[in-house]
Amino acid sequence: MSSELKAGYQKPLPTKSRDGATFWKATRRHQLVTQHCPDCDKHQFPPRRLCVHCGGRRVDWRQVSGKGEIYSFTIVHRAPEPSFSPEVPYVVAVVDLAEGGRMMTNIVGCRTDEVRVGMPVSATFEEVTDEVTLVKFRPAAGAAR
Amino acid sequence: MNEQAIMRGKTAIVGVGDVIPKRGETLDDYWGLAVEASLQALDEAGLTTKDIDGVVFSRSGYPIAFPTFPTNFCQQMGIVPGFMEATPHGGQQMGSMLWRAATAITMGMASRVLIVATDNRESRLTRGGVVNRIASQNTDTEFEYPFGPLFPSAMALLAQRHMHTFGTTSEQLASVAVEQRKWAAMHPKAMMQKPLTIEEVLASKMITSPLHLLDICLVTDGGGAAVMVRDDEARDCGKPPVYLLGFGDSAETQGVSYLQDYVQPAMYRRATEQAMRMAGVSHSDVDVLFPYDPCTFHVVWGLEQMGFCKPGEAAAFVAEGNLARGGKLPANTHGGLLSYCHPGIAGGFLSIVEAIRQLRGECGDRQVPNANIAMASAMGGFMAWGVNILGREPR
Repeated sequence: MSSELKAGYQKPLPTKSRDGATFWKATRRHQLVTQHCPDCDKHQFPPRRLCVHCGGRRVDWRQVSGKGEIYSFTIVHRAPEPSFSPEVPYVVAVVDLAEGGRMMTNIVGCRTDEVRVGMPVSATFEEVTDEVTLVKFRPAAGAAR
Repeated sequence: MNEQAIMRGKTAIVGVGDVIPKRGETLDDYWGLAVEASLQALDEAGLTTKDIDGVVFSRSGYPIAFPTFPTNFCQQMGIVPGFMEATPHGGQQMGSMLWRAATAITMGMASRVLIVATDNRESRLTRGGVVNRIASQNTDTEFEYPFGPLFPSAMALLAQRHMHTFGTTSEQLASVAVEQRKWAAMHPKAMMQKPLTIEEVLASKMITSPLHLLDICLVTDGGGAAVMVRDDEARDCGKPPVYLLGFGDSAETQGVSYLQDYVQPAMYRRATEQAMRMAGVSHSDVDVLFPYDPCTFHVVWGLEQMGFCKPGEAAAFVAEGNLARGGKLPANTHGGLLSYCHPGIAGGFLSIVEAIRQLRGECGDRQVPNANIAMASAMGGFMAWGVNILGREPR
């Protein structure tokens, strides 16, 4: 992406939290990481201080495959603020990651009317500014359209 | 008697009031709304501000130009309470207002509590502003909002999953708006009176699929209030008492993304089961239901989560007309958030006001015959859920 485009990015950027720092550092390297609990071996997203599955207190971070499946989606026709207006209609989806955990994202790389619940998707990294890279998802290779 | 039944029927609402703008009008008068609704409720109860010794107050849902603490309300009314409380959880707060008042009364901290829910969301934020503002503030600003969800997108995501799982259709969802508009047309204060068809709902602008404009609630100003007293005083007031029989609150997540199961979330079940156990009522005892309706889908969802329909069966139940006058389960008989009035924080409380009017037999054309037990739900703040059960007798 050209630096002019990056400089022109007007949409809201993620607010920064202590818990999310590791995640955002990884996305800049085009890696998707989620928290993992060594006690129950489950993953979780968003990041928290504890494992919400078992209450374990030793959550660490692991790189995950970036593969997932659309749990639900909506096609947004009315932008929540003017910076999104050029994009409408666009797809906001929640994706279940293969290793566990669910995240909100946009589905890119296909028409809005091709998006389905259950569609296999894979992560793609969008460098929206020099500091921030968002994780979006596109239909997995071979996914039925 | 289970231990929770300590609260069953020990308090009663003896007066209610609500201030509803006319269609096309706003009431940009936050304290005026709160005071007017309170005075209506006090007049019904035959009480004055000097009889009140407890206050439960819903703060405005959004940062507006002035503070809305219970202290501000006490100052307005000249009340020096032994108990005061501001309720959280956004639109869910009607779920927590009644039990907080009832608990204070049962514990002896107060004997007559004024409960007030008011907001001037439309005039302060404008309709479009509400949709924008809540999206940017009530979603997860780190992991959700950068992707551009609208506020109603959270509801749309839930609806889409339900459609995928059960084959629920847009026509079935639209029938919720149509049925509630029929009820609204029988209520002289309802903001939306014009009959509505399924075709009109489906032809209205798509906002966030599968929800059209007419699948989504109103944005208005308005307010409601109620006076609650101890059971031994309840029959001495101006209106027949309506007893608080049971209640339940629960929550799961703030962001919709993180709710574990969209089809049968744990929070719903927990709050509903607690309320019904406490009240000692079963589903067949409920004469009139008030499922929270920020969009058409939530009525379908609520019927299933509260156990009135099996998962996947509520959409057909609604489309068959069962929520209508004379139906198996009359619901949202004032028109609800979709057609009566929805001043944000106070929206759910207007269901409580209507439930009480139904149980007192005051509803004219829309009166549900022999209404003895009413149940109301609310959601907000964001994935929090509350249920209240009210009855004509303390049981």
